[in-house]
Amino acid sequence: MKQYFNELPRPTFRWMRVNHQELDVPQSPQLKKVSVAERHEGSVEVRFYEGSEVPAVPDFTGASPETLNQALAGGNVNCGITVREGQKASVWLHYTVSEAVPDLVGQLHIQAGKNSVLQVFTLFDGDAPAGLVNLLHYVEAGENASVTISKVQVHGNRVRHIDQRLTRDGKGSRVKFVSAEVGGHQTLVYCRTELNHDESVFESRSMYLGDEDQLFDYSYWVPNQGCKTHTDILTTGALMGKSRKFFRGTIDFLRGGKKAVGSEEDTCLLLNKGVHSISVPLLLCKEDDVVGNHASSSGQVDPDMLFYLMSRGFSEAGARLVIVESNIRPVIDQLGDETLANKALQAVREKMQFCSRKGNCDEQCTKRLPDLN
Amino acid sequence: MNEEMKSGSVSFEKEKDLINSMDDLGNMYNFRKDFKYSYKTDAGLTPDIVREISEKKNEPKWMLDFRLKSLDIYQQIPYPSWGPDISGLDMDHIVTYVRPNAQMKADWNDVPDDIKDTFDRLGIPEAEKTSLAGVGAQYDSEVVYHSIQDELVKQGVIYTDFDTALKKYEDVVRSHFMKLVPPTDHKFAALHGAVWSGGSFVYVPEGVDVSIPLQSYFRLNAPGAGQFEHTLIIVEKGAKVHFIEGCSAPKYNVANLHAGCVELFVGDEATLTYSTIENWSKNMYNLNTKRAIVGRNGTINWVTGSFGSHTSCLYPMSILNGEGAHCEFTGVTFAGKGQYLDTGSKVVHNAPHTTSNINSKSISKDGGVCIYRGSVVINDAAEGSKANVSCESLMLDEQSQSDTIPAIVIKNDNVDLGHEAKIGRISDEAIFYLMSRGLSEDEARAMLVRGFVEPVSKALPLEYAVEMNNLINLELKGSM
Repeated sequence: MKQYFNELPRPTFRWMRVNHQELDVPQSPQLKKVSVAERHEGSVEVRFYEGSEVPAVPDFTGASPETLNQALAGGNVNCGITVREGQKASVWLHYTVSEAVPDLVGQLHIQAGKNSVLQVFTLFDGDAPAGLVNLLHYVEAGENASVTISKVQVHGNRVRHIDQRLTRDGKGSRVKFVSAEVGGHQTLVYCRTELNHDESVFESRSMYLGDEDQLFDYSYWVPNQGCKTHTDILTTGALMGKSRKFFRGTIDFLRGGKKAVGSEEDTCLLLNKGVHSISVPLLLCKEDDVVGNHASSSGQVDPDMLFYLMSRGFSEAGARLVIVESNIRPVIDQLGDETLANKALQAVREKMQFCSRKGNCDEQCTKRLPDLN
Repeated sequence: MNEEMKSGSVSFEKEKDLINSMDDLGNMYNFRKDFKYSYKTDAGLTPDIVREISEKKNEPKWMLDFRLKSLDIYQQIPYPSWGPDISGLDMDHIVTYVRPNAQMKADWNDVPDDIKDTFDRLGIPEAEKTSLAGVGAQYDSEVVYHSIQDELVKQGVIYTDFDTALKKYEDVVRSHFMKLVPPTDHKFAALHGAVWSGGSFVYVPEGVDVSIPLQSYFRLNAPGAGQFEHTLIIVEKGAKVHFIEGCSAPKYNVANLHAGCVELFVGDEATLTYSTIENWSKNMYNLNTKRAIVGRNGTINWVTGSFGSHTSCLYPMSILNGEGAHCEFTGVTFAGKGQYLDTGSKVVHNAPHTTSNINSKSISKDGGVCIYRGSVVINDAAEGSKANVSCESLMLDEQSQSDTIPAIVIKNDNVDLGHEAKIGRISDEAIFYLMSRGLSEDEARAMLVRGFVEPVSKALPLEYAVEMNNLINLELKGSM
């Protein structure tokens, strides 16, 4: 059965086939019980629940109506995180797909009270034939709350990873997603953040490294209704093999949202023939007193840079890795957790064949220069 | 003054006079003539109407068959699911063919007075004398005047109306007509294939440089009618030509439709510059299709100013099929009250080392809606290609809307693509500075807007740059 994912809020020319992602969808899985590894620091309530805590939002369609309904119907990895007013906390969650439990479906309901600071670190790994991860993030950020969700996804190449995000802001709140997507067969990210309150901030930093027939499909939609809101979206990465990347970003400046500032940037390094990079960065503007920018760039590794690095003793492949890493560093460095950063870097180096420690994360990875020659 | 206007260096004192003089210019485009015609079809779209048009034009059978097939396609294709609302356009009330009370002439003195007066007021005969190598003038559904300098004829250049071309150069027309824009392309391409009438045919032989521009002007005078002219330009290897297209209509309370089609064949090492100053009336649905195919080391330059229309969908497309082919698009769109102008550019890179450069500017005011909708596709074979897209949108008030909807598809690793877009308003600091130098706020805004669109003005011949600046002043004054 075919299903449309990540539909563009304002469709364009049909012949370009960029208005949505059409994929085959298997029957809904029978979910098995599974536990998510969790640890936390600070004053925070972390609970795992059955059923649904997330309300149905009429105009939120998610990555697709079907996957949204699947996540809303309850799942096997539902988790709620609540941090009260003025509190500070960090939470680590580890989701593992396995042949025993190939399907992880659920919600991550985050409530951050007024003036609270919350960091959530998520790690997705493991592999299974026709594996599925479908997680709905529902973030409620109170006044002046700061919520950062860092994610590293290093699934095997048989997993479809669907990441749906809906954010409710508060006045002066700041919600930030930092994602490193390296694994998975198909990765679909749908993010809707409504900046309805004054001075609220949304940031997204995403990196990907595609190989073989991997698909990365990012979709962002940020309506700006509050005054002096700030939106900053960066997606950067590299493609190898026959991998494909779609970026659909929509910053929507609504009437009345004065002094809003929004920018979106999509950068893609094309490492060999056969890759496809598709970029659809939309700016919709009904308010004159705003500043909106978007930029998109795609190209090969800069030959001058390659030459310089090779003249300093690197092999060509080693030089390419250094350039790819420098391209994704702005995201890796903001993950905020060294173990997660190392996981992501190790996965990148494995893919580019500069790390032999398969599946064995080295805490010192960031300090250890691989054998580049 | 014209040079000053083109360069945007008008003195502060002159600025106010310039703005105040625009009322007369508004009348220059928006004047009506009595609706006279020698023949017109009934409103609506049926096979009988299509047969009637073909019969009146005494066309070959293949063209009638083509029209009927296009009508069939039109009836099967749905309206686009994206883009502006065109529900106000009711094809049952559109008259698709209006033959004016005139035959085509090669001397303005032979053109009936009321039609000649129309083109006099639009400045066409005057422009012909001073700055054009050839002129075509279409009134409603038929071309009423066509001329070309003898010197160009001697060099083998053909510039004629499309009906004549169909008779005199039937083989050439048949092998090119709607091959670049097939009726299956979209609903209004199919409509065009069914009811096309008028338009221009240009052929520039190998190596000929037509140094002075050719111009076709399209005037739609009939209320509730459609204009469906077809423009076909073939520029052979190493040849060069600049074609200018102008269009306008008086305003009526009923919807008018323009669904023209432009097909441009640019040969190896040839250069074609296609400039358009579009100023249709604000009751016009402008659903036009323009497409160019470019050979090895050939160049297509699009220069577009879109000012008129109630609703526009216009995305000139360049297919870069020859190695080293190049496309340059420079466009400005200005939407005022009640206008929804959905414009942009499409480029397809099909060959190695092709390059494209898209530079689009838009201005929206008084609730006007400007949409930039573009596409760049770099296909597998386009090794070493480069593309650059720049969109800038200026909003002059908080009632207006400006959207940027680009789509970029890259299927080759050896490419260099850059895209950037900006949306914003005129900075308060710039207005304050100019006002501190003695300008009123309106005058300061006009000056800044002219500076914003200067790259487009610079790409046009002097007379047309002046006309475009006049149109901007008109829009700013809101006198149309």
